[in-house]
Amino acid sequence: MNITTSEENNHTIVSIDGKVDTNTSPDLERTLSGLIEAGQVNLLADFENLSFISSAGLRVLLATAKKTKAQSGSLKVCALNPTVKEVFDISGFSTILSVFPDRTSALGN
Amino acid sequence: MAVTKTLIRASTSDDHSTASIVTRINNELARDNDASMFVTIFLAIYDIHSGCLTYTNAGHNPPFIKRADGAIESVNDLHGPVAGAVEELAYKESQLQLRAGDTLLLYTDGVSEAMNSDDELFGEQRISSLLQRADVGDAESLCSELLAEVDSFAGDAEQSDDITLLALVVDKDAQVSQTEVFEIELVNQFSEIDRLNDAFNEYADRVEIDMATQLKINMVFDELINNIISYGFNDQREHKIRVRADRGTDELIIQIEDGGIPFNPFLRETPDVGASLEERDIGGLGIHLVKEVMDSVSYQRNHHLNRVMLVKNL
Repeated sequence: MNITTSEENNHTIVSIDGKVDTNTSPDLERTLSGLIEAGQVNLLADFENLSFISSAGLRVLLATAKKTKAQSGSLKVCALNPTVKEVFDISGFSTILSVFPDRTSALGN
Repeated sequence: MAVTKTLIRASTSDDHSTASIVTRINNELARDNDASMFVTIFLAIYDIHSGCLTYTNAGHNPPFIKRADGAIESVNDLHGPVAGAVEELAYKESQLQLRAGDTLLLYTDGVSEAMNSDDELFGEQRISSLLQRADVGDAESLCSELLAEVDSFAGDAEQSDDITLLALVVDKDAQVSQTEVFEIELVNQFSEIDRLNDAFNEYADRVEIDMATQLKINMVFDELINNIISYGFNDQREHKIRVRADRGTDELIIQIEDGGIPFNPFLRETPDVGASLEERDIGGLGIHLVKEVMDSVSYQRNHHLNRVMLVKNL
């Protein structure tokens, strides 16, 4: 898994390339925690190149969403592939996170 | 012999692990066995859908397999000594794959140790040679051919032991799994999940399982293997985890076995997936995902092994 971060339209965009599972979720957690500690609490996770996510990754997203909300920010996600979308629907994450079809709609909102 | 048959009949209705059945039979036979009688057992359960033969060999002669392409194999795994001799033994089991056109041949030592008038033994070599030569049409004719050969070998010599043969021929047109089976042995380290998923995806490509399904299975493996490694073992030692996958015509069957503490992951309560962000807890979510993504999940505790079975319709 590779993570790229960039700034756009008052958001910090975190692009994830690969999978988020038992072995890679600690890396994602470090990246997201680092951003929040640096005061960047308007986060957009771009899943365009995310192949799959397991509950280990969902745990990181949940913790991040709670932390950003506590600081009046938010965690948005966009561009879910069908496998990730199914996992979000099954787990109820589709309703607790703001999910957008693509980056443009996520940033415009 | 009669007692053993009764015990097998009584045990097989509710138990589908040959290891567990033979272990129970052995304990029954060994208890109060003043006459020191014992039996050899080759007990097998054949799944006609997957072609998987699960078997336990308790001191019996190794059977032969003739593959559809003519190759002869000896089924050499032994899982414990003869039954009835020693109480409280834990027998094990193995699995092998029988495909369309394969033949399994079992025999008692009365066959291999049949003697002629010069005190020569018939021997296993003659059995495997005949199996190799034989044009196996059906099980009955194969057994008749072999019996005739034993008879003609023994000639006038007196029969010393019972002669029993059992042949199982998988029909040439049987719809058993035609594809290769995926098998891998892991140790309890998280890095093994990557090795499993990489190897599985290579297999899945070969047997034409689409990418979306592969990703779901990758996630399922991550959840279940993570669980086993995290919670299955109470010591710091290395433990094995076995994963098997078999692509049938319209379904993928996956089996995961570990020797960890008895644990049925599917008994976990379903988490409240409708809870708000603040109330939301992550516990149990992984297993919930597994149950939802797969078409059926089941669990068996089979003699010191946790066995999880998963089916994904294709």
